[in-house]
Amino acid sequence: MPEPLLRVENLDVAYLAADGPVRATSKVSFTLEDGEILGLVGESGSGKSTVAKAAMRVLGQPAVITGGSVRFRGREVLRMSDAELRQWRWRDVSMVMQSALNAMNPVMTVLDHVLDTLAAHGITGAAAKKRAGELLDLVEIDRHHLRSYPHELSGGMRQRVVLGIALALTPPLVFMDEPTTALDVVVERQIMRKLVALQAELGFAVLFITHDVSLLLEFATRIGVMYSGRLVEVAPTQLFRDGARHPYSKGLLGAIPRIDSDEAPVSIPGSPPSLKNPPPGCRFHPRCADALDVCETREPPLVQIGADHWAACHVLEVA
Amino acid sequence: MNAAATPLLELRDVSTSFRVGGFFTPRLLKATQEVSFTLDRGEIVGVVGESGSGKSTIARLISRLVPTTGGAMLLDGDDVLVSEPRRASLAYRRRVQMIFQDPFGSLNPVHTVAHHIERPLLLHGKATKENARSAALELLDDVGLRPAEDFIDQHPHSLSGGQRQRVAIARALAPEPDIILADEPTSMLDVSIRMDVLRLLDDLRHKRGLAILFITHDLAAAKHLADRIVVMYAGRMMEEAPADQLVKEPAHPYSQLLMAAVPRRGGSLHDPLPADPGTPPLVDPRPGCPFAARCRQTVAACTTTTPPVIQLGPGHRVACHLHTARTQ
Ligand SMILES: Nc1ncnc2c1ncn2[C@@H]1O[C@H](COP(=O)(O)OP(=O)(O)OP(=O)(O)O)[C@@H](O)[C@H]1O
Ligand SMILES: Nc1ncnc2c1ncn2[C@@H]1O[C@H](COP(=O)(O)OP(=O)(O)OP(=O)(O)O)[C@@H](O)[C@H]1O
Ligand SMILES: [Mg+2]
Ligand SMILES: [Mg+2]
Repeated sequence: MPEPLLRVENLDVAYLAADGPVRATSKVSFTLEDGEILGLVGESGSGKSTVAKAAMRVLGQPAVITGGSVRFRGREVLRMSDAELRQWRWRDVSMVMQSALNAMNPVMTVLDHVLDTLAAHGITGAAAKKRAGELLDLVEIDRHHLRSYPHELSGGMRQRVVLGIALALTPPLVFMDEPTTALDVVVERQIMRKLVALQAELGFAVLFITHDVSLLLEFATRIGVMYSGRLVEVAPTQLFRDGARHPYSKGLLGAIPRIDSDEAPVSIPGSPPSLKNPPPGCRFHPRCADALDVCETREPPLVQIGADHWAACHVLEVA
Repeated sequence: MNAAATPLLELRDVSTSFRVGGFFTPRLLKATQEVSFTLDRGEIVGVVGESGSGKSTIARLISRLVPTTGGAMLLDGDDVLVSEPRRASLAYRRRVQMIFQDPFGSLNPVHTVAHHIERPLLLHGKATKENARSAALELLDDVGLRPAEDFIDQHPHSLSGGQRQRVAIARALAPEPDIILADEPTSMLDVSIRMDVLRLLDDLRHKRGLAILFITHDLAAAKHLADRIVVMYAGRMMEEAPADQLVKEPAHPYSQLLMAAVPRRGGSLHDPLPADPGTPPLVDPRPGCPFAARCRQTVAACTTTTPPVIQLGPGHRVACHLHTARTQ
């Protein structure tokens, strides 16, 4: 089998805090194929942004990648030299950071921001100005805002500008960390349609981090779920919607408030574990209704439980 | 008017504009126009609507962070734009707290979580130097940052998006305000923690009579939490209705569009929507209804006159010529 576009294997990242390391991700493994949209959901603080930033190698102090590998078309990203990294980022990847609302330079206009990115890739002059206008159309912002400064834009407009910039060059791999949190459902839908159309046309792959599981169900190829630094389940979207197996995934699906139902959603009892002193065994066991004795002592590995379906849960192994 | 009928907060035709464009060609962007609604003790009013429609501006107007260009804003029946014309008093700033939309920009990177929460506690006399830390720990626990000891001495950069959002919520709760203006307070939280935070807000309004303006894009959450929902488009109120009614029988074509776009089980990204795409100009807006260019139910008046806000039923108001015609 040919190498996938991106293969992340046993990725361990720790933040070295003064009072001990925070193990933000432990043994995270997944692949991303060309032209695929992998949705990543999970608990707040479970390491989703860390995974994306580690894979792009944009993590700074005090983070250290303590183990694992990240391969892009077979090449080890974690061993690239600075020069190779620059070249790789320039040609092959782009990212919308979760902090997009706050990511723009306050003294630069929207146009300046777009031109900067394009110029870094050798696109200048009239061609760049034309492209800037097209990008604003793509993210549904009136072109007169090319002359706006960040403080003159609403939250969702800033987020859309950053999204547009990430799509300026459509490299084969795009990381998007909660790119639509500040958008209303209508604009979000319009932009997601265009994104998916563009993605189908150009064939780039997307790692899409979000808390909006319902939205993800409408366009992702596969969905991965993180809990407390681990990937606990990965499945094709249909399968996930109709048959998520990990107790945390099931809890997550049950907690979604539904517009077409008067039933109040059910939140998962208990609270997420500390990453400094995680519970032994499965990290979800203190909140899990199905926990067995083994769950308290042994960490369940991510194993295949069906066609293209992976989960990390002792209960599923036994069944 | 007797005291019981005076709402805690009332906005009457509040408008504001921003000067935009170049130095030589200044123009006015009308960010909110004639916005009117009330917010009472123990009440949660949801504000939904298009990105860029003026929702954050409304919250910033009420917090007195941007000036109004018209209208009145009454707190306990007193027009604060008249009694405190230049800037809000310390008392007002304690009573009205804001949770900002952007958790990455709203916390100061040089200060710890403890500082962010202890400062308002001390400033507004809700704690002493001796007990500020334990009060802060309690607030962190309330918003689900547990164990609170793990978080209190962190700097914002070592927190995830959702963790920062909860610090911002704890900070707003610290001075025991009467009103919380929550600008998308849960957008970066997973659904389970989101439920917990919303339940906390719900608890506070029941127990303490806290009033909450809940700006959100999560219509399902607004339906479950809010008493009433206000729908904004292009700086104007399109509709206001009891939450259930707005979701089940939206009267304004824009509200109908909004409801149709909510992701549903078994839905597809490509399911048709009941209106055309487009963005309304806020600088030099066309006459008539701002939604007319996208609306598929227009009548002649829609492109000539701004629809007045009319009463459709108890607590149900709408600005749409379709309904103006019907009620006449
Ligand atoms: N610089 C840092 N120092 C110490 N801990 C950190 C640092 N940065 C992140 N963390 C911790 O690492 C964990 C993972 O953070 P990350 O931002 O990856 O979470 P996330 O899954 O993206 O969460 P969210 O959905 O809230 O954005 C969090 O619990 C966070 O507290
Ligand atoms: N300081 C400012 N100067 C100029 N224009 C501004 C300023 N602040 C806001 N605006 C404009 O006012 C309009 C309303 O912005 P606002 O932030 O209130 O929207 P919003 O409804 O909160 O949108 P979102 O859902 O995207 O956060 C937007 O068109 C924005 O460009
Ligand atoms: Mg994150
Ligand atoms: Mg806003």
